[in-house]
Amino acid sequence: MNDWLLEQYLPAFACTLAIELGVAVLFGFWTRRELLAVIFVNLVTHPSLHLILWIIFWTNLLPLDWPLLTVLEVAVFLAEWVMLARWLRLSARRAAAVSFAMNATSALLGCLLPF
Amino acid sequence: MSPHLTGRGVYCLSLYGATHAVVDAICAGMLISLWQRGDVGVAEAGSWFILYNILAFGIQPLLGLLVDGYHRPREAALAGCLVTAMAPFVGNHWPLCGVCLAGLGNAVFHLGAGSICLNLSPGRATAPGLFVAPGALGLYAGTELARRDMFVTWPFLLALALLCAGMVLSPPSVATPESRQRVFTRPAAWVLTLILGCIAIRSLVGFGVDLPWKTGLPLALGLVLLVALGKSLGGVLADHFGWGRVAVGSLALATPLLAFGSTVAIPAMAGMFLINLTMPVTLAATANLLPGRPAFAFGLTCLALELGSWPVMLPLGIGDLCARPWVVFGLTFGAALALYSALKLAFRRLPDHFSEVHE
Repeated sequence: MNDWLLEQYLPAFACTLAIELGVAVLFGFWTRRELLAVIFVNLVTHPSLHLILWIIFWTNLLPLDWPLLTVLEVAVFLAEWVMLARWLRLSARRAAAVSFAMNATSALLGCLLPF
Repeated sequence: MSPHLTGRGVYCLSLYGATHAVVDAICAGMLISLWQRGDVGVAEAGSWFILYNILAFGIQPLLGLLVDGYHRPREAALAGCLVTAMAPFVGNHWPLCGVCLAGLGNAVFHLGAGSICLNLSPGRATAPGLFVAPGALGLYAGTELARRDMFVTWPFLLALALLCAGMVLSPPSVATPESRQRVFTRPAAWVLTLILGCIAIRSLVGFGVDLPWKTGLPLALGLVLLVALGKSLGGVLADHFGWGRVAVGSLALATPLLAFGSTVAIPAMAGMFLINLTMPVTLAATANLLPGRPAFAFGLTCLALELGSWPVMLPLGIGDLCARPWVVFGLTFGAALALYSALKLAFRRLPDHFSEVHE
């Protein structure tokens, strides 16, 4: 558990946070409030996603394959969309664009990273 | 291309950018050739390399004050070329003198040409980025040719002579603006410290990160091209989309790629491209904080680069530590935070210095 936490989960979380903050800045998020919102959104979605993956893995409920991961990634995108729109009072379109870009980039770069 | 750059500006930029590549190629080629030919031992070569770096980068702020004081950037650029051209000849007979001349010539050229290019698009990052980028190509060309024992000085000297003729026959008509604000305020000092810290950390990461795949020519060349592309595009993109967006965003994105992906070519190359996008912004921001002292500003950024490389380049025994993933992550993300804080403070408290660009 400790090894998994240190060698798998924490690097993945740190990378996701850095990538999503970077994308948010590229989208014009600049105030402390906006950037803290991105951090909080990740603090909600990232552990939740990994908890779900962990439960699925240990209970052997479903095969951990690409369709399942895509569905979960879409769920994260939707959750981050709603949270960003509500917390930052963004338009639905802008929040969706930022959430999509953040999650697509972190998924893409996550595939490139060797862990 | 930035609309603030005129046709004449583009010409000057091309001339000084090409000269930058040739000057760096001569210096790198000469230094590596000395070692390659066996003129000096490994230990001696190491200490000469450090001496070269101190002369070429470390003393730039002092020389920059002189260049600014006399308002002679064109003459400095030409003198730098001349001294650099002498270095290989002198180096053949007195290697240590050759190393010193190469270091001094490189420094003086950088300061003169750098301050001219900073004034081609005052306050903006496009021109400095386009000027600095070819240096990476020249450095790589000189190093690789000398490593393969293929470095021949005269074609580079011929190119340098032609470029110098261009500088003499068609000198740039840019005036160094007088200092608008002589008093250096506390916010400016904070911003300058944060930016120089960001440059030093970027240099530490660039030198320290482990790139085991870089041994083959195609990937090494690809990396150098991406580094040069990053430096060139960084200023153009930052001036167009906003300094903070481009510089801080790209540094944050580079963080995981360099920290956890450096052992694989594609993520590492992407990371190096992204980290280099920030260079023109940090250089132009330093110059904006020191109006009327472009050469000194250029010199300060080079000193920060040099100091940043010391933990890895000097035999301090912490080179391996700087290559560890979490250390690289902390350093790069710390640099992004430093740059974020610097630009926030700069645009809020020093708007006069950054009136030409947007956050």
